[in-house]
Amino acid sequence: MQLKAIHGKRADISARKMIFYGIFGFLAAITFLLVAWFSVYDGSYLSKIPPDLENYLFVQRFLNSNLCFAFQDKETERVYPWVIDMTKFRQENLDNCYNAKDTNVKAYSLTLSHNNKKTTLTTKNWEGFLKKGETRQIFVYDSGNIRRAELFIEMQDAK
Amino acid sequence: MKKRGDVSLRFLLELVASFLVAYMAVSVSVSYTQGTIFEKLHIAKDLAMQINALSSLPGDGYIINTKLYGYSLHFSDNKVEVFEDSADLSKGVYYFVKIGSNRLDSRFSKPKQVVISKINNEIIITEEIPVLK
Repeated sequence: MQLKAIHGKRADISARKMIFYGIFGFLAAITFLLVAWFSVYDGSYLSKIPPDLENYLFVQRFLNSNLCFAFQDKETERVYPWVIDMTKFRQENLDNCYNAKDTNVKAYSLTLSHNNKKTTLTTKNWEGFLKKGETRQIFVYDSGNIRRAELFIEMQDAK
Repeated sequence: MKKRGDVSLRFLLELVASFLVAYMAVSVSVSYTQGTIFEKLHIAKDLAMQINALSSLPGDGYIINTKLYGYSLHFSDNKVEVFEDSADLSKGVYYFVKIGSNRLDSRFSKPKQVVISKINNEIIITEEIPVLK
């Protein structure tokens, strides 16, 4: 009689199975989320990098690299950091030295103020929303002379 | 009209699917609890920062990485992936912007060391230390 009650109808088994899977799925999801939540507090500090380090490195690239804008003496091949060659301050050079096609990395807009003129260049992933801006006092190499100038650097965070 | 065989096939599929879901959940949970996901992410960020740092160097230079903890690496054009094997569900991924025009696609299977170098305005990644002029 008891055996008959358990295996009575196929629908009973199916309903019990569904309840079991429902409870199992709910508990498994909760357990997984709890484990993940607790461990975030324990280990996430390992993968943190100092804030502004990445931005600092990219700004250094714009000012130090001869592939970007830094002036390079043709005879000695010496590169002069923080001295921008006016002939190099072009979109083509920026695209070559900072070839960011997507928004996984920071985006930049650079405005050079020199000789009462302003020239603005933007990286390929620039979307026009300012996150942070800073002005750097730099030098420019223009027609054989080195003069003071200002570079306004706008930055957008990676998405 | 359903046959008995249909029910058992469905049950088998459910069983396989539930094992798959359970494996994924346990695998990701374990990597979280052991901190390996953060370790992989840390290595990925460190290597990406090194590429960014070398790209801002006026001359040539290289950085040697020895503490890779037995992970495999894949450098592509704009990102670095750190993982245990290709089926790893929790890879450490971070993005960088390299300098130069050469395409970057280097894979290293559990290397003892990786050397990131900038030579003649190109980023090169090898297991051997390069000779600078």
